[in-house]
Amino acid sequence: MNRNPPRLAAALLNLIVPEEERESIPGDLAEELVTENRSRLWYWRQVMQSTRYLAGRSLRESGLGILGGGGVMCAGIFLIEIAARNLLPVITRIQPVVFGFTLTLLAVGVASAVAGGYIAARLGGDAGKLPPLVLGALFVAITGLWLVRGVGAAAPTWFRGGLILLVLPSAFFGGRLQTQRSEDE
Amino acid sequence: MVKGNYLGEFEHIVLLALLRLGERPYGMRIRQEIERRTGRSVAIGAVYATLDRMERKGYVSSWLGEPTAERGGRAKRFFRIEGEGARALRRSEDALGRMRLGLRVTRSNA
Repeated sequence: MNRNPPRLAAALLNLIVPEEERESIPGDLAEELVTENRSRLWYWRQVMQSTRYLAGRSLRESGLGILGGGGVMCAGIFLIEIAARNLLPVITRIQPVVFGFTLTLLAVGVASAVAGGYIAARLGGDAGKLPPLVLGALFVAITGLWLVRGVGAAAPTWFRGGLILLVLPSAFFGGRLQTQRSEDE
Repeated sequence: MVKGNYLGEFEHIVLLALLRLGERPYGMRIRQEIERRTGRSVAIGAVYATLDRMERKGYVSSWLGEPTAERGGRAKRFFRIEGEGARALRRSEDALGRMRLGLRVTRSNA
């Protein structure tokens, strides 16, 4: 019987395992496969179940968490941009609708910042601190640029000010949420 | 009260496994011990992620052993509970003990 780990599963494991565990984790699985006479299916299952724990750590070490969180935030801005560009000019005459619509846009912006902070903390490591803050600062800078140069300039002042004031604490809040959750696990 | 003073459930279980295994416990043995005693399936990645988190908190320390042939020439990582980890374990055990005091879980109240 072949007691070598399945090649594909071993390659996948190598891909996701953090640098400092390159010896220990593949070694532990290889040892258990032989000494406890485990099946190849068991090896596959261990690799697949470990993915969610190891991939996050690898990403964190490579600093890609900021990019993941940044992606979510940029998607949020993009959504606001499209909505503002297409709908604001149409509804400008009906004041209560404009107010409701702008409030919704503000909520989307804040939600994007919270989600971005959460994801950055999840992938970006010892968070609640640096990744969400860096991300928040990035978001404030992009939002500011958009408001000055883009269609956001057509939006009410309270919306523009509110968005800039709220995104940084929102990103930080998202990071704290994730940190507290991981402490509970 | 600082929430970080208390252990998460899996952290608690891993520290107890380290205590049970005594001398030079490493990932595979810890995983097997938890699986055997709790009856739940445990991924090796979950064990190492928890140990890594606790190492950063100063609860455990680790060091690499010698490579062996049965592991494809790879080294084992051994773990040890540090004083801070022992204190955290005692705090959590005490808190659980106080919460349990005078209670008996039955079908009618669970």
